[in-house]
Amino acid sequence: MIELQGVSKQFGAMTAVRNVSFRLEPGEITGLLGPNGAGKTTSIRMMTAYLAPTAGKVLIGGTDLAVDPGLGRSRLGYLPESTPLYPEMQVEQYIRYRGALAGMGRREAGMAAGREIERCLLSGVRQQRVGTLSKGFRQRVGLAGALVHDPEVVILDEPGNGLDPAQIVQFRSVVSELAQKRTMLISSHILAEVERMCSRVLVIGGGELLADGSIAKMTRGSGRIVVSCAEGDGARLREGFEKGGWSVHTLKGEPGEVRLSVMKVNMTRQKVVELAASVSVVLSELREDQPSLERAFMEILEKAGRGGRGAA
Amino acid sequence: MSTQGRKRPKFLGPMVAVAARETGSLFRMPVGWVVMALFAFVTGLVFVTSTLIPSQPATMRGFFALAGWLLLPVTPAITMRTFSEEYRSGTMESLMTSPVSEWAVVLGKYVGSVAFVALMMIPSLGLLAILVGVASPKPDAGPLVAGYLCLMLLGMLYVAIGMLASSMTANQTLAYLGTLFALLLVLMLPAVPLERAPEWLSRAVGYVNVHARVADFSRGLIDTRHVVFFVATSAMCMGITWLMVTARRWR
Repeated sequence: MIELQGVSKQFGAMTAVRNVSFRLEPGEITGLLGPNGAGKTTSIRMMTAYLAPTAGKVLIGGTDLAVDPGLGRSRLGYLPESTPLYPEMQVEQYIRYRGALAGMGRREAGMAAGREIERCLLSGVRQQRVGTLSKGFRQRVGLAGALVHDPEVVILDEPGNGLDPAQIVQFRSVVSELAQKRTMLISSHILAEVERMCSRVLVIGGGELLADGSIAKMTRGSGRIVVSCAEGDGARLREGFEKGGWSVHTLKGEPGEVRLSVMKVNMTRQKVVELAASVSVVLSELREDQPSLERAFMEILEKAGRGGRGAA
Repeated sequence: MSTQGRKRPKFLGPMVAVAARETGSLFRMPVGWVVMALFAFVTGLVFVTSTLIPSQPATMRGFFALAGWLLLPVTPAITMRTFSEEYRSGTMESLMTSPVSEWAVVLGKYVGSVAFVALMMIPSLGLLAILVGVASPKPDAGPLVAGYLCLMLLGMLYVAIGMLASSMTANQTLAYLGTLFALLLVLMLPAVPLERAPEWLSRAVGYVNVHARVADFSRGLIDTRHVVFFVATSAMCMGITWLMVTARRWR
């Protein structure tokens, strides 16, 4: 279990994270999303006791990191964003070293390293120097090192970076297996991956927690009906939608054309056609966009005024 | 390890792991071998040309004096990596989020670096064996023990100062130069004329007079006050290094 209680972090006059609270339970895979500079990495660094919060508390398995960071970290496995490793060490040597750092004896560290080498599919490179490995393998070595002491909470910062499609599939299956008895938090830019792997999503923007909920709940209402009409009819059609109480966004359309996006809640294709006819507008396009995390994410950021055009 | 009832992390095991990695990494890269080879070559050359001379007294004094000066440029080369490289490559984040205390990291790196200095001295035992084999009368044991002890104490102090400099920057060159200048400052301080300075300042400068302490060791004197000076000053530098490492959490 990992819990943040009103956590804030200030760097001089700048507030990087403001009053963030949430609680993650075992068996849950949670995605952490936010544009660049939103405060994701700072939040993660506070969850891993790398940075101390300016205010608030971080609890790992019930242990307050400010009171006993050592015990808290013994419950935590963390893979930082750039997968920092020692290039001169061999794969097995590095994983055993991480076990020794966790207080394991030689034998115990050797057995744990063997287990993680199997789990992370590193048998073929166990004697190879880390510096000679491809990015995908390095990522797996970092993951094996983070898991060697069998942590209750696993935090992965951008774990999919640099993995090829086959490696992503393997990685997904490792994460699913790990999540059976652990609390997992994955920060990622790849929204499709988050959508596949995670059951819950936290969205951070401008240092604040903008949304926290299941993917189903978050994407509900993110479906859209997109319509296009001649440029001269656009204002009339938009006014018609707004009078009906529907939320409308103007999208980029073809030259001489207006493209509008209408929230799909309580809206059907039939209603759109009827409304267009009632304001004497001929539609040149009518299609439905299915709900997606990407759209939900953009809307959350737009609502919060954080600009939805950045990466997740 | 069970996920339930997790125990408080240990200190000694992780510290030894950090120390072993620190020493081992120097030998997994050319820098460790090059430093050792150069140290052995230069000290060996001077030993052959200045000590192995017929009718000269059988003493390693020349080796100890040279080795003491060689530690000056060599120790910063060993210590510049300790923290700066971890900061630069990002491995500090993995290390400091592992279940290992800041003290275990700082002491582990210290022990690992001092162990390398000790390993650098090992080839000189061959020179000593040659001297014992050819000299008559045999060299006195006292100055030899005092000489090696002095080198190790110097090494401990230089490593502690080097690690402190390394803990302050992610730039290895800066860490090297900072250490070198700090060591030169410590060694040159007694040469500063202090006739008009307050008495407390003259006494303080006199206390850090490394030359005078080394001179006693070279005469074969093992004064516990000198040993305490080197150990206490090294411990103080380690304490400040620990503060620097810990303070990064509170940025």
